[in-house]
Parts: sequence; C-alpha cells; structure tokens
Amino acid sequence: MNRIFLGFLSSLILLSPAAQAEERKKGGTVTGPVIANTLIENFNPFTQQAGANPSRGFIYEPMLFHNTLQNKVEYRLAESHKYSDDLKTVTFTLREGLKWSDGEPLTTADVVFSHEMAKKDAKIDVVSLWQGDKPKLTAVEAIDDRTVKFTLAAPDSSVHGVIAAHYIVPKHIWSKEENHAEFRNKKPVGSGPLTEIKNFKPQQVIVCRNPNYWEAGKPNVDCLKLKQFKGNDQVQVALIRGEIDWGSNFIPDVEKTFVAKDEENNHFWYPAGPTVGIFLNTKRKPMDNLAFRQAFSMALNRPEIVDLATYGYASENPHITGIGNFYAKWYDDEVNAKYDYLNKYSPEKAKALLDEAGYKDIDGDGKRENPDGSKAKIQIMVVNGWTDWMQTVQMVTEYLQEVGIDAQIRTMEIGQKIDKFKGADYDAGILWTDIGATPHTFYQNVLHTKGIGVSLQANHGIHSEEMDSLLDEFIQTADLDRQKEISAKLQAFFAENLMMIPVFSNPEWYQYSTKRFGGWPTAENPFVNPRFYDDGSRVLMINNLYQK
Amino acid sequence: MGRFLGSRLLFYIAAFMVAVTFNFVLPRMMPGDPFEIMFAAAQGKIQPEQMAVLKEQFGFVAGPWHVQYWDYIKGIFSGDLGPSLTYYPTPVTEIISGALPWTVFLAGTSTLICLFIGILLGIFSAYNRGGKFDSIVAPALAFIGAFPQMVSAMLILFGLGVILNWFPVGYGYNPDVDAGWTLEFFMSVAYHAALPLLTMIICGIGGWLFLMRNSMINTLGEDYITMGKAKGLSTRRVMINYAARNAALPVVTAVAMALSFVVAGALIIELIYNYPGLGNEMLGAVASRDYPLLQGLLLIIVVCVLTANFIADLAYFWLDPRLRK
Repeated sequence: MNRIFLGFLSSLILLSPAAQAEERKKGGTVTGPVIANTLIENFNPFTQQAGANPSRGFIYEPMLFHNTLQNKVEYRLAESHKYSDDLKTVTFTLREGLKWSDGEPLTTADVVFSHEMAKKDAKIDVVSLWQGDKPKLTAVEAIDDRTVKFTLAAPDSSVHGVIAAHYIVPKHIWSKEENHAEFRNKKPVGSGPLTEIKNFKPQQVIVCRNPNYWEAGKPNVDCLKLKQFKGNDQVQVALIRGEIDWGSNFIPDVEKTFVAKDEENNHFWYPAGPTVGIFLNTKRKPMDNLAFRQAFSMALNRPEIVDLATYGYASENPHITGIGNFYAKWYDDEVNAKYDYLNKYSPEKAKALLDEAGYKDIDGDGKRENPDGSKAKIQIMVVNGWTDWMQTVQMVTEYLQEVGIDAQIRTMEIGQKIDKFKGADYDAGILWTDIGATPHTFYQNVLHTKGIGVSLQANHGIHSEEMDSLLDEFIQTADLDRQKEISAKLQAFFAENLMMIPVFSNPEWYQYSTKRFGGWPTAENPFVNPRFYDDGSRVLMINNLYQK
Repeated sequence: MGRFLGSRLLFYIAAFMVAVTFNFVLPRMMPGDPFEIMFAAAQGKIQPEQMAVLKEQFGFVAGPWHVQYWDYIKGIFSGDLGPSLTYYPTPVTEIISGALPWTVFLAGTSTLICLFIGILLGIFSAYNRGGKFDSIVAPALAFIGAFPQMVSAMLILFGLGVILNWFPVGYGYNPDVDAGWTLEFFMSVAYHAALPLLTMIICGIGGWLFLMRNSMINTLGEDYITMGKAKGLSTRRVMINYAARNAALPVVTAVAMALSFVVAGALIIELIYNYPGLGNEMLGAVASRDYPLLQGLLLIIVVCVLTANFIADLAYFWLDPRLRK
C-alpha cells in the first residue's frame, strides 16, 4: 500500500492565522527563559544542550515533525514524504527554493551530508539512526536536488519522524570542519526562522530573523531574546516582573502568584503530557496477584491526588489503559467501557476484592497479610526532592493503608532508582512514561520484551509474545486503521494486567503574557503543544507570535 | 629563613597532591553517574537507545579509573582540564575563566570591606571595652552575622529586590549593556553587585569585629601597653602601633583562610542572586555529576587555599621576629 502524507492539513491550520497577517505588526523582540547555570556559545545542534540551545528548531529547522496535539505531520523543510509499498524505503521531497541563511541553496546534498556525518561518527548520531546494535537506516541517496531516499534496515512506518529529528546542516560550512562533534559553530548558517546571533552573553543570547527564510513573511517578530535563569523560582520572579513573555516551568499556585498580578494579560495553559504512574514488580508478592493490583488501582482517589499533590495542574487520565489525553485520538471506546471501573475511586470494592483474593488481616495488626500468611508489605520508590511526586506517593500510601495495605514511601537518589527499575529490584515506584508521535512509544517501552533491562518501564514481569509481535507490526504497517486496531489490543492488554497503575498525566508547563505579544497557542487555539524546549513545536510557536 | 621556607614549600606540594587526589575520588564516590542523571532529567525525551550516543560523546569519563586519573593529573600540569560534560564540548577552563572574575570580585570586595571595617571597629571596641559601642553595636552585629547567609540573602532579595524593586535580582550586569571600559558598564556591575555585597558584608562584619576585639583585649593587658601609656604616647599611637600590631597575628591566619575561601564561600549568595560566579557553576556541576568541571573547580579552590596559606606563612615571618632567627 502506498501512503502519501500531504501537507495540506497543516497549511490549513497555518492559513487561519495567516489570514489576519496583514493586521499583524512586524518586529519586536520576544523574551523567554532558559534554565541553565550559564549559556554557552555553542550552536552545534548535535550537542546535548537541547533546552539551552537555540540551534534546535530556531536555527536549524527539521524537515518535518509530528504535531502531537493535532495528531498530524507538520511539514517544514520537506513538503512531503512517502514510504515505498514494502516500507523499506522512505523518500522526502524538500520545498522548492530553500536557502540557507547565507543565501546558498539548501539541497538534498546537505541532507545526505548531514546523515553521512552521523554514519561516520557516532557522536553526531544523536537520534540513533545509523549506529548502535540495531541501526534503523542502511543508506541515504539523493535522487535529485529536492528528493532524497533513505533505505531502512527493516520495514518501519514510523521512522520518518526520527529521520527528520536529525538536523540538516549546511555542507558548504560543515565540510570544512574536521571534528564535527566538537565544532562550536559560533556563527551559525541555518535554515530556521531565527539564525542571526546578535548578542551573546553568558546570561542572554539574542537571535534574529533569517533573511532568507522559506516561509514568506515569517517570523513576525524580529528577534528572540533568551535569558538565563537558575531555576523555577527565578523564572517565576522574572514572569511577575514582566521581564519575560513566557515560561515553561513549574510555578506554585500560578493563579495567585502570576495570573492575579495582571489578569488581563497573564495566562497559563497546562495541556496533558506523558502519563505518570506507579509501576508494580509482579515478580514479588503481593504484586504478583492481579486482584491485588486491581484493588491497588481502585483504592486511589485520583482527583484528590491531582488536586492536592500537583496543585490541580496535572490532568486526570479518564481511562486506565496507560495512555492519557495526550493520545486522546487513540482511545478505544470498547476497551474503555470494559475497564474504566478500575480507574474509579471505590475503596469498598477494593476491600471486597482483597478479601475475596485471600488478603486478610490474620495477626490483627490492622494490615492485611498475603493469602499464605506472610506479611504483605510494599515500598514505593520516589526520587528525593521531586516534591510533587513525593506528595503523590505519600497520598497513595495513605489510600492503600485505608484499605488495609501496608504501603510505605521510600525516597532515594535518581541514579539508584534507575538501577532498581532496570534490575527489577523494587516493589513499586513512581515513574514517568515516554511520549512520541503515537501510543506505540508508550507501549513499546512498557510492554516489549526487548526493553527489559534497557527501558526503565519494562522490567515489571508481564510480557507476551503476542504483544511483542503486535508492537513490531505496528511500526511495520502504514495503515492507520490497523494501527488503531493494534493500539486497542495493547490498551486492553495493559488494562487487563495492570503492571502499572496510571495516576495522572503530567502537565506541560506553559505560562504566557499577552501584554507585548500575541499569537500564543492557547486552550482555545491549540495549534501546537506549547513545548518551547521542543524542536519542531517551537518553530510553529515562534512563527505565530506577533508584537501587539 | 631558607630552611623554613623550603620545608613549608615541600609541605604545600605534598598537600596539593593529596588534595587533587581527593578532588578526583570524591565526586566519583557520589551515587549515580552523569549519563543516568542526564537521562533522568530528560524524563522520557531521551530514548534508551540514545544513551549509547551520550556515552560515546562523553567516553572520556567512562574509561577505567586509573586511565581517568592519569589523564586528570596530566591535565592539571598542562592546563588542559578537558571538556565539560554539561556544556560539551566547551572546555572546563573556558567556563572557569568566565566565572572566576565574578567570584573574585564579589567575594574579594566583600571580604576586604568586612575586614577593614570589622578590624577598625574591633580595635575601637576593645580599646573602649565596656563602653556603649562595645555593649550595643558589637553584639548587634554579631547577632545579625549569626543568621545563616541564606536567610539574610533571601530576606534582602525579597525586600529590596522583589517587593521594592530597587535592585536587580540576578546577573552580574545588565546583558543589554556591552562589557567594556565604559562608565555604563561599571555602573551596571555596581548596581547588580549591590545586594549580594550588602548581604555578605552584613553577614561577615561581626566575625571580624570579635576576632580583632578579643585578640586586642589580650594584648591590652600586656605590660608594654601600660608602659606606652605611661610614656605619655597618644591614644591612637598606643592603640594602633602597640596593641593592634601585636593583636594582628591570629587575625592574619583568619585573613588567609578567608581569602582562600573567597572562591568557594560565595556559593549560596551566587545561587540566590543568580550571580555568574564559580559557586553557581559548582552546584550545577555537583547536581549533574559533571566530573571534569567539578574537578576543575575544586582545583581552583585547592590552589587558592594553599597559596593563601603560603602567603600567611610569609606574613608571619614578617610580623613575628622570633621566626627569623
């Protein structure tokens, strides 16, 4: 089957703001925060300073990225991509007349060069396309100036997003450098909306418009100023003082501390991010018993946890299948109807279920014992200092105690927690999950046997060959209907076995001020997930901002 | 004299080697390694497979300990401390040289001001011991100084910075002003240093006052003071030339210690005021297990402590004639 993903949907979304473009003023410098100890004069997109680095997205634009909120592909440097019928090759077509910021043409020669770099040097291969045990690609070849073909190591319908996440840099500049991983690229020549570094200081960097940007009239703003802050509290002060126009950080009691200072202009929007849950090690008692895990889930008052532990900023997951509203387009009504009861707070049902399964208080200490009479005690791991999660786990243990389960919080260092998760040396522990273009990322890391010992979420003891092959099939088909079918099966398997108890969806932190600039993504106009640290999303965001 | 200095020098070289070894070992004894911390900090934004690339990029910290140690020792003597992990591929020396001047300026200025005012007040207080100044101002300063720096810093920041909005609450200077020998730049530096300096002076002055006062009081009981007074010398001459000079010996030791901790001591202040100094970097390096950067920072502290102590030795030599025999 041949699937062409056309870009017209994305242009529709872009058209609506564009229609008002005549009224939109040009110019201005929008200011945002970066959390870092100091900014470093390094605009190499292949180094690990994503948040502090304007090179990703602003200076170097991706060929495309997946707009998770709209569940569609946003074409940037590329205008389309196409898989071959056997899903063994994928071809990208670049837009016409693309130019680097220095005026040189941007062609597939640059694309090939950028990927050849990663092929030669593992340090450049930041998204693991060419190197490692299982490289995803075997060859790249320019068909003509605008068409480039990638040959895949195995059929895979999801690799286009990963390929596009490898940044394209100008061959005519980078081919002169010998050590690409250590190239500081202080005067970048880029392809994105903002490429000209105007003022670099360890405390702030100003990057201004690309004179040769492909999207006519964009960006509306002239420059972006990124200011350095140590932590969330300093960002909060800067927001309140109006020194920055947006924030992407946790702010306690944001209504009072930020919105109330200027209700007309100060806003926040916290859309759902990845699911956070309590992973259970089913190789240990009493977590080995499904009835126990179901009772665990029903014992939790999730709305109250969201309200108290996260100040109400996290989102409740409406279903028990592991995925939250981030993947709302993938929900399956049939599966949800069957398992939703497990997501509801019902301590009475939880108690009944435990009684029935033989978890009774034998020695009269008020805590239930295992059916065989041994103590049923569980420790829930959390990283020391991650206050909202500590509060969450604290509340979880209290709910569990209410139904007679002896649960305790166990705080530790992140490094230690990672080792314990990977080595299945734990009873239970709170953990984030991974997000990607489709729920596949989530289930792959939780369910696939390949992930045991590698993925933090995989070593819980419940796997099945059927799920492994479904997960493999998911990326080997380009048929969306089939993907939805598989996704429903994965959701059912997850809800049936509950190796993880989903608690809530972490919020994406995002505050903005409409005092000087407009065009922000909002709950009413959610054209993109407001992830300013993220590579593709930040391009759409910056292009849509305008000075008032 | 030569023998004294020679033995001191030998001692310092030995101390230096021990200290740099500790600098190497201690960070590595902390649980967790840089990759895991980076991985965790990304919370799902880095896929497990990408860990391999990270390890590749930072291969120089993943080697066996003895290889790392040898590279580290070579680095110290060649001045090449390698690239930082957090800021890869930026060299550690570049990060340190960017931050060092700010710390030296901030901590140096505040120490000198504290020292000067504190010692003068200490002399005055001791000479007029039991007087109004000695029984009201001195204890008051000690009281304020007893507050943890963190608390005073936050109170001052919140009051003068956030609420009254009189002073900036971050940075060494306004980044919109270009650094250079211009009045605008110096004014900006002074304006931004105001709150951190104020905090450090308020916190530090009491300690010096008491050190000098107590040392003075002991000296004032000596017979040569009485004799100086009996000779009819002016109060000022007795106070400064007879008493203060002899009371200064313990203070010199303390000054040496204070100067050596100048580079490390401003950590909390720099953190709270987001001041671009070494302390700020140090905390970040510890949190992310950035071994090369941490080693570099600790090295600077070791060098400062040892140098300052050596200078204190020389000063003793000059102040105390008994050593010259």
